[in-house]
Amino acid sequence: MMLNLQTGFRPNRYCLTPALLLLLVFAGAGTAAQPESLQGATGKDWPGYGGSSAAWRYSGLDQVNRDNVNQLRPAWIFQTDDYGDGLTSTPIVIDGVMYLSTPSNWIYALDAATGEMLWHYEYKTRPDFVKPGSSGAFIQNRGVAVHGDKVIMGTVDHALVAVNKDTGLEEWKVYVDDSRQCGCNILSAPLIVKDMVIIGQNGGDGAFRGYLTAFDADTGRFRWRFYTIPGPGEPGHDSWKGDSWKYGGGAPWMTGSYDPELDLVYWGTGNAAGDFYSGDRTPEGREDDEGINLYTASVIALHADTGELAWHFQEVPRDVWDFDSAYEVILMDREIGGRQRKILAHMNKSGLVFVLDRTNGEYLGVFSVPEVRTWISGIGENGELLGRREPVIGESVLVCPTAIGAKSFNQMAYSPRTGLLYSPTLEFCGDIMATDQEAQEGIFYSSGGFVNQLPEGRESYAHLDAWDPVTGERVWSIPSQYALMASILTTAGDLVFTGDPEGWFLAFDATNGDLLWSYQTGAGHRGSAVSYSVGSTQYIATPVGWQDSITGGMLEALFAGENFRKGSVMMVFSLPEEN
Amino acid sequence: MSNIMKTLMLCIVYLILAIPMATQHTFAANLDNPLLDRGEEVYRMTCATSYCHGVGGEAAGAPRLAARDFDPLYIAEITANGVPDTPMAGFANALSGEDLTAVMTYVASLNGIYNPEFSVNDPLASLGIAQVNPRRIPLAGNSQAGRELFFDAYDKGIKRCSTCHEMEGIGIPVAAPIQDIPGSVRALKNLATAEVHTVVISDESMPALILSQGVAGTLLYDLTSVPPVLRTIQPGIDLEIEDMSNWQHRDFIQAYSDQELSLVLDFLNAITE
Repeated sequence: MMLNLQTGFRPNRYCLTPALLLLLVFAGAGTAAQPESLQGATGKDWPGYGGSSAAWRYSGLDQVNRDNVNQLRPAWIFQTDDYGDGLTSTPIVIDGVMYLSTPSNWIYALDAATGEMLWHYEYKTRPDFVKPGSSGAFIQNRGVAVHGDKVIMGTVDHALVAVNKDTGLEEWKVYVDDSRQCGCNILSAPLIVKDMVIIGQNGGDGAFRGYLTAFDADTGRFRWRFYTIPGPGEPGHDSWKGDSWKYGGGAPWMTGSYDPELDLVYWGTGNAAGDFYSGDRTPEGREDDEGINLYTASVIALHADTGELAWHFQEVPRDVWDFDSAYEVILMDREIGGRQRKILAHMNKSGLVFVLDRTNGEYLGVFSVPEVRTWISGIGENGELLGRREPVIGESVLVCPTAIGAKSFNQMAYSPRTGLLYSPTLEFCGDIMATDQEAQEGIFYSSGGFVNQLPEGRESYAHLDAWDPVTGERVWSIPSQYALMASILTTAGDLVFTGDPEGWFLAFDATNGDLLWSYQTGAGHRGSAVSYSVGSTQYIATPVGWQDSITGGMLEALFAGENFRKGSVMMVFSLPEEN
Repeated sequence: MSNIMKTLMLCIVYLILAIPMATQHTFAANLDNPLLDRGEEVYRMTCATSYCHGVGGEAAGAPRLAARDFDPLYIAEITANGVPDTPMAGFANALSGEDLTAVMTYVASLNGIYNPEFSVNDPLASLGIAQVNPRRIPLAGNSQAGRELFFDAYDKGIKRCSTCHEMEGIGIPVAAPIQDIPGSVRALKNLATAEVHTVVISDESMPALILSQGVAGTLLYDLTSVPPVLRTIQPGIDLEIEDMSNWQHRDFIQAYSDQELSLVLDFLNAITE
């Protein structure tokens, strides 16, 4: 067996960084998970992008567990026939039907027990559609949302489209923006909140002002829009120099979360643009201030009905590393200091995981997941970045992690049984060189570039970690040779599933990281596995198909000669019937 | 170590470092083509951001471009129009003609072609390729201010003209192409839009622009809110269409002052001439 994952945990031997930042302010924090008031677990369905709206990626099903996982075998396989750029999707499963989006904005409805195709929808872009000449040029789609009788998807030409759940026939479509002007498009899965569908966009590495928009999920009619960069007269506008707010990025390019009890929507926002140079967007004399370039690289909480800002927490003020904070916001209720608190855990691209009180944004603690870290030397008492190692115009500055991120957009998972967060962590560095670039609406605005580097002295460049979000302790860590670019799924069977670029689909013991089962699926993994049941059978489903553009392409360049195979397949596993 | 020794050692280090760089860039450095400098600059900012191609045509998030034996026609076609079913975008809309020519010239140089025949003023027409977006060419005076208002994503946001009108290759063509330009701001506000009907779908009434009716159902824009929603009403669903509508153009252009609308009219007149 050629799995590098079997070699076990390798201690950190890279000299540049301390292993962890443990700057938690929790007093007397317990490690045991507490009973949750949140409905974070999924049951027979997988209803949303992160599973539940708390984004745990945790299935409460336990038919497949540590004792029998080694008996998993394929139940069905579905070839999508769409090889745009791998299969990066999270399938949605409701009442025994799987809704799967593919890179070219196709949707399949499949019988979730057999894989039989029920209907197929192919989105047609505008006849005159031109791919935006900006970061929005990916050919990907990360998933649909389902509300009532509608399956809703964002599109490459920046529309939101709803098709009928039973027929696949188009019902409504609304252009959220013109991708030819904004350089933006939609790859992320929408979030359903009450009777609304909320969507962000890609494009924040271009000269663009990010926003979230809410529509009536039944009719497609506009409800509200929240710009992630405040306009003239709004609080936070003065954190931008001159007209830079128009081009400052902050695109919320992944999917948010929702707490029904607090009625708050949580979303992570993208990096500030131009990516690697802040001189054009920083007000004079405020370079060292907190709260610069709001609300980029932040977690924002919005009132669901109005889209008004409830609170924000900026994780990377005046970002100059392309450290998007657009990733998943994981909501949980945990005991801290002897009392139950409503918290959230949120990792940004730098690998810092911020833990906040989700009622008001109060900072509770932070920990850092990559073993190689040079971009900062430490973190202050209130989460402020210390010892920033910043790019310089015309000079090459080695920074770890690189803009690939200490984690890519593939998602973490959280198990209430173990109380642990499971993270697919990456270890890549980059030589960044900044430039002073003029902003031009909708055009790439990176203000520099970078050359990825493998950190020296390592034999593996990724690790699957289990972290206690309350103590900031890494409970276990398993190395992986190249990169972990697929999301994590965890289940009540105390299992953790993910896939690797070499095509292995893997199951680990959630309590200690022991590898319990693996299956060679034939192509690299970049999507998100889910679990659901039909009748009395639990299924574990994973998209298979490597993304070979952008981040995936960077890895292919770093590991020249490796063949991370493309593909576009849904593979579904279950136990033999005698179980 | 003496200062001389230090200097000597530094020189050796620099020389060693410089050898591969010099080899890599010899062809560019020896050329007397003024487009190359600008081309390299445009390439660095637009293509070699590392998310896509790498510096000097190296592979990064997208494939290597240097030493691929690309011919000029291929370079021009791909640069202008992109590659279907891949992330490679077309840049005919995104760059000025001069910058497009410059970056194509630079990529040609990475493939050993130092003087490709791309014309600065008309880089694409001679190759039969889509023309550069006219929006990149500034208009005179008020017309340019009107153009910026028409496409204003910042102050007007979703309530800008181009949410419903496509001009110069930008905007959502909800409305038919603008042909008869109103003679005044007042006329613009009072614009009679006979194509808008009141439609009743399953007891819900809405102003709508009907695009088609046929066996596959009725395709219409619901104009209740901005942006308009393109709806497909399947056959068999109750649908009534009334001739008249209370919908008014003035309600949808409230984000603009009269003065701004006047500038928008200047823009429309200028580009229609």
